[in-house]
Amino acid sequence: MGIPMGSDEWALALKDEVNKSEGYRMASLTWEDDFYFIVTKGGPITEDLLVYVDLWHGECRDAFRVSDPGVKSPTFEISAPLDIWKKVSNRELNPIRGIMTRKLKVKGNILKLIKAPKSAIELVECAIRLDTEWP
Amino acid sequence: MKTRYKGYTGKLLDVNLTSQTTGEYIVSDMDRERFLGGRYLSTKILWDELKPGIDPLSPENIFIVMTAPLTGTRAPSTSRYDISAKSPITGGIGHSNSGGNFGIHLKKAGWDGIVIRGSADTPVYIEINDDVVQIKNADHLWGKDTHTSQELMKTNDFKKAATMVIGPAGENLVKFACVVCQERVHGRTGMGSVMGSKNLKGLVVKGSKKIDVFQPEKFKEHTKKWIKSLQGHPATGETVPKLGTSMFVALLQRANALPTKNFSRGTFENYNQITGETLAKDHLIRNYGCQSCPIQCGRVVKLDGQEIKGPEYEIMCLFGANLLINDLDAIIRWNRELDLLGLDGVSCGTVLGFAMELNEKGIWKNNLEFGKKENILDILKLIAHREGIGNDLAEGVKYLSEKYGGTDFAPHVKGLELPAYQPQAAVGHALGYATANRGACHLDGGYMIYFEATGPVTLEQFHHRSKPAWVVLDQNLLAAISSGGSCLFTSWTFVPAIAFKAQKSKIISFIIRKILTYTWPSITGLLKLPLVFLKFHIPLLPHSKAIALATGMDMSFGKLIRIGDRGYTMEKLFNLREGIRKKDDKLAKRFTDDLLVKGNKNSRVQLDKMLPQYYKIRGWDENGVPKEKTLKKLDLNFVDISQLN
Repeated sequence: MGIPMGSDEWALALKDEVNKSEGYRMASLTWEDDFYFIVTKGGPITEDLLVYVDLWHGECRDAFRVSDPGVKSPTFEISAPLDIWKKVSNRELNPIRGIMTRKLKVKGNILKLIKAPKSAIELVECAIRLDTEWP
Repeated sequence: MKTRYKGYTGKLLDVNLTSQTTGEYIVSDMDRERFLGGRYLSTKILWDELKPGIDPLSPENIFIVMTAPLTGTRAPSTSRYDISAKSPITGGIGHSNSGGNFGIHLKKAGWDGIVIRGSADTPVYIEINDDVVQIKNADHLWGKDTHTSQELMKTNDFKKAATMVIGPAGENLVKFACVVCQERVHGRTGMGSVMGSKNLKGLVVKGSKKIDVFQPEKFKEHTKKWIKSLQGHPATGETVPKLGTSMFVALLQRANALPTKNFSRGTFENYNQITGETLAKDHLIRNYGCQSCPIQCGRVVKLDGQEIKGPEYEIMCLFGANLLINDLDAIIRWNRELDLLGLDGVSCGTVLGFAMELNEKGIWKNNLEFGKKENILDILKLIAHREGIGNDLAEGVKYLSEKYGGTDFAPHVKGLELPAYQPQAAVGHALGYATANRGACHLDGGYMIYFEATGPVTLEQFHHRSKPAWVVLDQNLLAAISSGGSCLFTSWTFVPAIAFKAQKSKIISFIIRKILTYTWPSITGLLKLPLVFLKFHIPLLPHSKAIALATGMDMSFGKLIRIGDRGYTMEKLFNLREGIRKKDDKLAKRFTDDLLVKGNKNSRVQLDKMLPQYYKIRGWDENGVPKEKTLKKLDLNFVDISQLN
């Protein structure tokens, strides 16, 4: 049985996976920013689903589900509907291409993200390795 | 009516993409008098509205489209308008001027300009039909090339409208992304990426109103004479219509000023395969021009059975000699691709040349080689989409030199890549590069190359002492002409037709060269003359009279030059506030230390000699900061200079 996508359990599993990943660590040695990853309301998602992820110098310091968006002020917010996140997870949509084509909406310095493609791809690979149960 | 002057509509559109609302931006007549229009009026707005230190690619940046009082008035070559913002490539003032029909339609729609703030959540475009302004979804346009997107925007009522768009390069925030209007291009300073950062794909405008002038009959009479003088002038009436800007390849080769192999020398052995004459013989179908322009500098060429826009000089050199490529067919193809992708050809060609030298020297292995053309088309796409090495190339020469090395031969100033004129061959032109507010720019820099190499009569190329005064005069003059809405080609009549006859005699050319070079103190004197002595119009520069007749403003030759000086200084103040200083008025060591001509110790750019004099003539201190009395003279004393020090 999989881990429900976007749950606290899922966030913790992502944190563990990131911290085990040598690929992520090497690609992100200088990264110092945190994120909200947001699945926007629509279809089976009845309200925006937020996961907070704090990434620092190649490791994940914290990750959890967020019910109140005001609880953190991350440097980046990346949001998209469920079907787009599924495409990223299935490797049908490269995350950087998703950002450039605005399928993944970014609040924050978009150029900083698209200049760090390896880091983004490794992070996505970590998420792909999770046994995710999609809504 | 919000202005007492004709030629203006009196209204600026204010668009907030974050809140998806529109309104009006108020500009005072005092600012119209001080700055006229175009980029200098925009600079004043950016000075007023922007906080220093903002990220140019953040929603806090403001993107301005601005016409000028002569735009759309039927004075010759006055389709010009500017786009401005804080530049993502220099961090200072950014702007780009273009022809095409957008500015004319905007004025006819009743707007002098557009101030665009914030950023949309999803891709949008702005649609303007006279007073009706809508912000529309652009999902169907995003990712499309500039030609396709412009066609798609012209639907229903907008079939004959004017359009302005970015391509994939702007969407992907390439630092030197441009903005395309029909087939005309706002090339420099990365304005395309500013639009991309706002999720603004483009604008479409349709106008039906009349543009009124102050004294219609006298204005009509004046413009008739002006058109005649342009048509009768050897440059604007013959050479430019016949060959376009591509005529410069041969002229600059002769002057040892054709940038070759990443600006390492000034001549290219295979130059004759990429000259304007070759283009005309093998490819040219016809020339074309902007609305109201008798010069018609544009080229339409044939390639693979298709009629497409032909390359300008800059592309022919920077993708030709600068990369050691002599295949004109390929250059024409790349020119087309640059436009479709929305890439600034000047920056792009210079970036590629620099990358090739990094590869050749083993500093950065990137598979780009001088003379190798097979992968260029693919590389352009990689840059526009930020894929592979394109992601690094998209950041520009300054970034590449800081990341990989090669700062000694990195051809940029303040981050903006050099255009296609070898600096050491025309040291005044080089001083212009170093001091131009938007970075290395031949036009903002005063276009001294015309007086040092390509014009009918010239100063001595390597004479340093004479150049600062000439550079200041030229910078102010071109700034003034631009702020009125005229194409800079119209400034060429400043050199009278008789000079073209004089160039046929070696003795007369020699004498004129000496006079122009050694009478530079009189230029300094002219620049210092109080305005009261310059209250006239001069026939060689019909611009000031045209502005007076069009607007009803009190205008003269002296006032117009003063407006140029003021606008230039306003840009300088903006840059100072952003932290751009004397240390940034510099060129790479290749140009300041390496001799262009073996044995000629003056054939390097001695900026250390010229800069102090330049600053002094401008009324700036030894650090390049305008003095209080200069600000007072220029009516810019609303700026607290102590805050900028």
